[in-house]
Amino acid sequence: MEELLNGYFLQVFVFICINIILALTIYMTLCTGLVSLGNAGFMSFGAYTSAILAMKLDVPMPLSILCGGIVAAAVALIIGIPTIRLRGLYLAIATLGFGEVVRVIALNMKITNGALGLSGIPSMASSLSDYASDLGLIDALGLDSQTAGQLLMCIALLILVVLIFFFWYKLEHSRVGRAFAAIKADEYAASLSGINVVYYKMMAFLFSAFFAGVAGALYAHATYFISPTDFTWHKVVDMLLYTVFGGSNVMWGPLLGATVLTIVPESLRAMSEYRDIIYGLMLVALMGFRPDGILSYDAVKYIARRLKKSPKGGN
Amino acid sequence: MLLELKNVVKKFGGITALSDISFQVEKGDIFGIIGPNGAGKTTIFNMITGVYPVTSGDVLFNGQSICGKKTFEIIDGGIARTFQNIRLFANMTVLEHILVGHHCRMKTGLLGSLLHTASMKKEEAEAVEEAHKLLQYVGLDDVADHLATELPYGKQRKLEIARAMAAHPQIILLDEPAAGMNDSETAALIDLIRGIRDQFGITIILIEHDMNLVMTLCNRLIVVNFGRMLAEGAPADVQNNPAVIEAYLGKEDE
Ligand SMILES: Nc1ncnc2c1ncn2[C@@H]1O[C@H](COP(=O)(O)OP(=O)(O)OP(=O)(O)O)[C@@H](O)[C@H]1O
Ligand SMILES: [Mg+2]
Repeated sequence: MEELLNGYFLQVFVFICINIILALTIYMTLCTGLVSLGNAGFMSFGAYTSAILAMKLDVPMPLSILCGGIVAAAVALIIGIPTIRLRGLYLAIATLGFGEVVRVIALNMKITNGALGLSGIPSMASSLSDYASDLGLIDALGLDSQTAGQLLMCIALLILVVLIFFFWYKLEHSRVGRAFAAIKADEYAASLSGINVVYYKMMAFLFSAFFAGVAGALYAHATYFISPTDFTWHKVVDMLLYTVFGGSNVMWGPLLGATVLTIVPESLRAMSEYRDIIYGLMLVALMGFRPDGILSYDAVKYIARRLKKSPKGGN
Repeated sequence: MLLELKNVVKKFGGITALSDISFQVEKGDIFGIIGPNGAGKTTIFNMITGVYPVTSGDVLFNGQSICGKKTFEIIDGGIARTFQNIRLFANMTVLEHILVGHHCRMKTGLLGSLLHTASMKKEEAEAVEEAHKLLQYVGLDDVADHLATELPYGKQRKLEIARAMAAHPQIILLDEPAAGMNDSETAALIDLIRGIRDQFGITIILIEHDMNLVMTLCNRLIVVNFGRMLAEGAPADVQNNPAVIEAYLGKEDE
C-alpha cells in the first residue's frame, strides 16, 4: 500500500484519468460520425482560461475549471457553425487547422506568456490537501500533506471520470443517443427519418469541446505549468490513438485505450531507446488483428454474458 | 388536396432531371409514379422530401409550400419515405430502427435524456410498446432483437416501410418497394400497402417497375420519361395511352 502511494504512481494515475477524459471527448464526436481533431485546441482554451482565472483573479479552482470547459464549448460553437456540415476528412482537416491556429495564437499573446508558457499555476493537489487539513482529514490518515494532496486529487479525478462516463452513458441510452447512432450509421437515412442531423452533431461537438476544456484545465492544475507545446497536434494523435486502440464503438474502448497507452510508455521508460519502436509495433499489430480496436460491440456483449453466467467472477 | 406539385423543375448543372412536373395527390390515394430508368422518379421524391431544392416550381403539402424546408422538418410535418437502395442502420436492431423512425414524435429533450426522468422512461416504454405493435403488424416482431442487416432482403424492405410508419406520417413515399422480391413476397407487399392505407389512413405514393403491382394497387398514376410527364390518370387509361406504350416499347421484359 505504502509503495502504491508513491508520488510517481499517483502522478501516472492522474494522467490516466485526464487521458481517459480526452479519449472520451474523441469518442463523443465519433458517436455522431464526426472526426474532429480540434480537441488539443479546446484543451488549451480550457487550460489557459482556468490557469489565468486562478492565477490572476483568484477564482476558486472548481469554478475556474468549469469556466475552462465553458469557454472551450463557446469557442466550439463559433468554430462549429461554419464547419459542422463538413464531411469526414474535410472536418478533420478544418478542426486540425483550428488547433494549430490556437497554438500559434497562444504563442504570440501576452496573457498566455507566449512560448514560455504559464508557470506557477495553482496546484489542485495542494488546494485539495489544504482543504482536507482544514477538515482535519490529513492527520486522521497519517499521511504527509503532499501525498495526501496527490491522493485526494486522484480520488477527485476518478470521481470526475466516473461522472463523465455515466453522463455520456445515460445520454447514449436515450432518444438523443439513438439519434447519434443513426447519424453515425447513415446520416442521409437519419435525416430522412426525421432527425435534425446538424443539431445533434453540434450537440456532440459542444460536449466534446466542453470536456476537452475541462481536461485541459485539470492538466494545467495537475502540472502547474503549461505552454503551447503541450497542445500540438501530437496531443490529438494521442487522443485519437487511445480511442481507436481501445475500440471506438463502445464507451469502454476509450477507457481501456487511454489506460493502456498511458501505462505502456511509462513502463517502457527503462528501455527508452526502444520505447517508440515497441509502442509503434504494438499499434500496428493491433490495427492488423483488431482494426476496430480491442473492444468491439461483440467483445463487450461476450464479456457481459460471461459475467452474468458467473456473477462472482470465478476463475 | 394533400400534396400538390406545381411546375416543378430540377436541374443538376446542365442536366434537366425534371421539367414541369405537376400533379395532385388526394388523401387516401395510392398514387403511382412509373417510368423507365433514369426518368426522374426518385428525383421527384427528393424534391418532395427536401433532399435538394427545386430549381423552380412549388411543392404544396396541405395547401402550404414546403419548399425550402429541411428534410427533418418535412418528415416531422407528415411525409415519410423509403429508399430505392435500402438504407438501414448498421449495428442497430430491428426494434431500434422503429424507435429512430419514431424520434420526431418523442418529446424528451436533452435534460430528460441525461437524467432518465420518470417522464422519459414512460415515453421510452410507450415507444417500445408501440414499436412492437408496429412490428407485429408488418410481421417482423419475431426478429425485433436481430440486427437489421442480418435480415433477408424482403424483410429489410418491410423494415424500411415500418420505420417510415413509425413517424406517424400522413403520406409515405415508397421508392420501388417490390424491387428484388419474389412473386409471393410481392403479393404480401400488396396487401401490406393496402392495409397501411386502409387501417392507418396513410396516403401512399409509390415508384415501381412491377406493372402488376402498380395496376393492382394504384388508383391513379403518372408516367414520367426524360424528366417530363408523359401521362396521368387511372391505370387503365394510362396503359392504353399511345405515348406510354411507345416509351415502354422494348421494355416489355421488365
Ligand atoms: N444528385 C444528382 N446529381 C446529378 N444528377 C442527378 C442527381 N440525382 C439524379 N440525377 C440525374 O437525374 C436523372 C434522374 O434520376 P432519378 O434517380 O430520379 O431516376 P429514376 O427515375 O429514379 O431512375 P431509376 O428507375 O433508375 O431509379 C438521372 O439522369 C440522374 O443521373
Ligand atoms: Mg429511382
